[in-house]
Amino acid sequence: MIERDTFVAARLSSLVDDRPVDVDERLRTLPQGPTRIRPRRLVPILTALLVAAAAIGLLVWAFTASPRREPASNRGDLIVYVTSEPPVSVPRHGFARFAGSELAVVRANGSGRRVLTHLGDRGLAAIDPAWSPDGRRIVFVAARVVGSEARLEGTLEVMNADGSGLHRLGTATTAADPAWSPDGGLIAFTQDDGAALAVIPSAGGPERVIDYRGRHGISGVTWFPGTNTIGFVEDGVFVAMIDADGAAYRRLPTGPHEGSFAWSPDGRQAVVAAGDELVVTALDLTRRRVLLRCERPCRNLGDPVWSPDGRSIVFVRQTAGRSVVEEIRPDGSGLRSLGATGWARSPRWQPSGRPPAAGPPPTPAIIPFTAPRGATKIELGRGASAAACGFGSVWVTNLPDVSVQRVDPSTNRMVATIPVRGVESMAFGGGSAWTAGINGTLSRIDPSTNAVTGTSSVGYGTESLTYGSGSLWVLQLPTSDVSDAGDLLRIDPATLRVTARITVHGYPHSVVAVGPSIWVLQDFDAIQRVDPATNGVAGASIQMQDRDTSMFAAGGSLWITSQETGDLLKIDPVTGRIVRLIPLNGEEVASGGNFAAVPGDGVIWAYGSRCCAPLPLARMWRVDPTTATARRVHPPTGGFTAAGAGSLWLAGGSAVYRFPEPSPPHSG
Amino acid sequence: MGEEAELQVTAPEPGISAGSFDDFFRDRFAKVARTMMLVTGDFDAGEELAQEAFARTFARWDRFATLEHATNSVFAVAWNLARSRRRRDSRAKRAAGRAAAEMPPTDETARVNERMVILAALRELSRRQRACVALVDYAGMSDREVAEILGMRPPTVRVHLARGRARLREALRPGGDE
Repeated sequence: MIERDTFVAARLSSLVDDRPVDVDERLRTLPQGPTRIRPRRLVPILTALLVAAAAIGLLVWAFTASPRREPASNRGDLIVYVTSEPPVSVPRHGFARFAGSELAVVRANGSGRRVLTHLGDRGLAAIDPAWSPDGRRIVFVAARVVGSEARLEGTLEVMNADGSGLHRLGTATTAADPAWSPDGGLIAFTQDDGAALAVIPSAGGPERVIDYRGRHGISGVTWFPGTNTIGFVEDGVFVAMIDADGAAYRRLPTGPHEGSFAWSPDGRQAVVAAGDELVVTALDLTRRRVLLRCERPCRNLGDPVWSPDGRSIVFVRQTAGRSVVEEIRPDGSGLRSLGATGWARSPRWQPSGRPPAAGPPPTPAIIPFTAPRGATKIELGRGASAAACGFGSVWVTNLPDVSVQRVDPSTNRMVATIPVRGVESMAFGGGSAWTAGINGTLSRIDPSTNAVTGTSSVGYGTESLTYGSGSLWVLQLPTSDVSDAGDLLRIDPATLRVTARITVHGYPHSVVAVGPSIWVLQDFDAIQRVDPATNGVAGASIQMQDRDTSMFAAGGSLWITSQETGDLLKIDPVTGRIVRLIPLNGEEVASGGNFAAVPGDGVIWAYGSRCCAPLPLARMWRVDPTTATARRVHPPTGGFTAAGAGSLWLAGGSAVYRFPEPSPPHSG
Repeated sequence: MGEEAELQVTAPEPGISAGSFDDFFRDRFAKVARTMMLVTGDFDAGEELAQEAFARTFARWDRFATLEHATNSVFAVAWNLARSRRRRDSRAKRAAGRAAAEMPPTDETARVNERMVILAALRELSRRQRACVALVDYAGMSDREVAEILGMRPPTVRVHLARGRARLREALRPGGDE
């Protein structure tokens, strides 16, 4: 859940709040005529629609609700959460978020709600609870807001699960976000409004600040299951990790989210609450699977956390004037409310202290995926994350299983499942298919045998790869906010060894090989050429006019999509100059949020639609990359990730969907 | 590799009360106008965009379930008007410069200087970054609401927001340790 940045908000207010605005005059001179003629009411029709939707919802609920399971052995019976009065309005400063907050518990069956702390009498608020791994104690922050700038002060407090034995831990006065280590020995927390990350022995002792270069705006502290690695969020967006001893700092290039995430107890998945969505993701927060979408009157979903056995996720759902704790299973079933006392935040499920129950780890969450109309469904039997076309086949990546499924378009059947070492991105070239994992692992697949013929590890943060000029090129993202530089690695395809490391500034995040050049997209708004002959950047980066772009290669040229304008730009692969601008109904696309294009068999398929719009509002074009001419076609859907074999391909659920190439409108 | 299709249709809801538009206007116009001043970096344009957006919103008044819904629509319309205006008028940058020149002098030179610095810092942001920062940090909207208004996905909003905030902080607080 996004909070205002008080520093920025204060400056913006100082800029415009004293600007005179004559509201009455503006109302008096409001344009008249058609705009003030009230349209006819649609109430009867809409009411019928709502009634029908409610009936369907009840039916779905009736069929999906199932009896509760018995608690697993390592799952306690309590959920602790922060409770307070509802915020009066959107808070302008921190105090409104914390005032009157106390800790309360509720049993997992929704009964037994009671308040554990009574700090309000002392002018304090209890926030940020976390269980000890044995489930017997709770650490939290006793907070107060001081000064005209609403600075948060907080001390670490520890108490027993029944609220007894309350005592202060350590001497920190600006603590927040404590998290108990898996072995119970340490508690990690932030200091100075997120400016520092620190640890303290849970039995008491001196705090120790973990020093690393990238620290900035730290929140959302957690421990990676079963390790001494602390995870946290930097600047509200980036997930970073560091060992408790200060070693091995790394930042996930993925994100963004707003500090509400938790890794599953088996360390295989994460759950993220990002405003209106609750999603289960891969470990690195890629490949989202939406569990729940917050529809009106819901305003926000937040603070998700797994039950210790990994079989449930609890989170808070906020509506106007209400914030309650809810539970859902990682497969999206079993949604139910546990209720809450007051305005609930930060639920945390109690561990039992016993070891995890024996048996297989929790099933990776796969949400139901409705087959789009007109598509041929090719069942893969496992999670399908994205599709790519190469060597006459469709390759579907499977993030949970870290594998690739190969589909033969001539038979519409899966012909191979290929376990690889990492599968976040994929490329083809040099007679091989290549995969890369965010953990820096590369895999080389021989398409003639479907065997992995080589693997390598090149370092954390691998985001994008491409093949060109006889080499594999792998982009590693910046690992801290201190630097905007990433490394482009040149890999020998035979040995999988790094033969060159080229520093590229400007937040590089994707790489494409085209002709004699390698191009890197920087911060969504500039491109930088890398010369394979010199293994260095060639010239200055080229700023794009619009600031939300993506790029790909087709027909021997580099292509840029402009999300802002809906334009498709053809770029000379050597000079970087725009040689053609193809406006694709820009106004319609630009006012929407989704505009993308993928190369197909000698064509480019581009599509755009308003954000979250139903299918009829989608637009699609067939672009000839040679002549740079575009023709409007019927859109089968949006969101496809690959084109080939005369079809468009969309991966979803446990299948890949095949669409025939779209035809022009009105062609009969 | 792109993202999965996320298609959804939200059923329309009955409209808000017929007589509430004027109150709605009086209550929210100033906030929208000032937010659009920040979004565009142009003080005059902010008010004009807001007025036009309110007028267009009134034309669809029956379609809004809540005042919040209508507010979001006003912002969305104002945002699209701003973008259309920018496309039509290649002199947008001159207009932005003019706005700075037209800022009324005050007796407090230091305060004026500070405002100039803030305005200059705002203009260093991309339009999307500026919009996200203004809507979240000034107008107090959620990332979901901003996503609806700007036609982005909430994660995209958060990226623009984070980068916009970081650039503002860098520009306005060189020491970075306030």
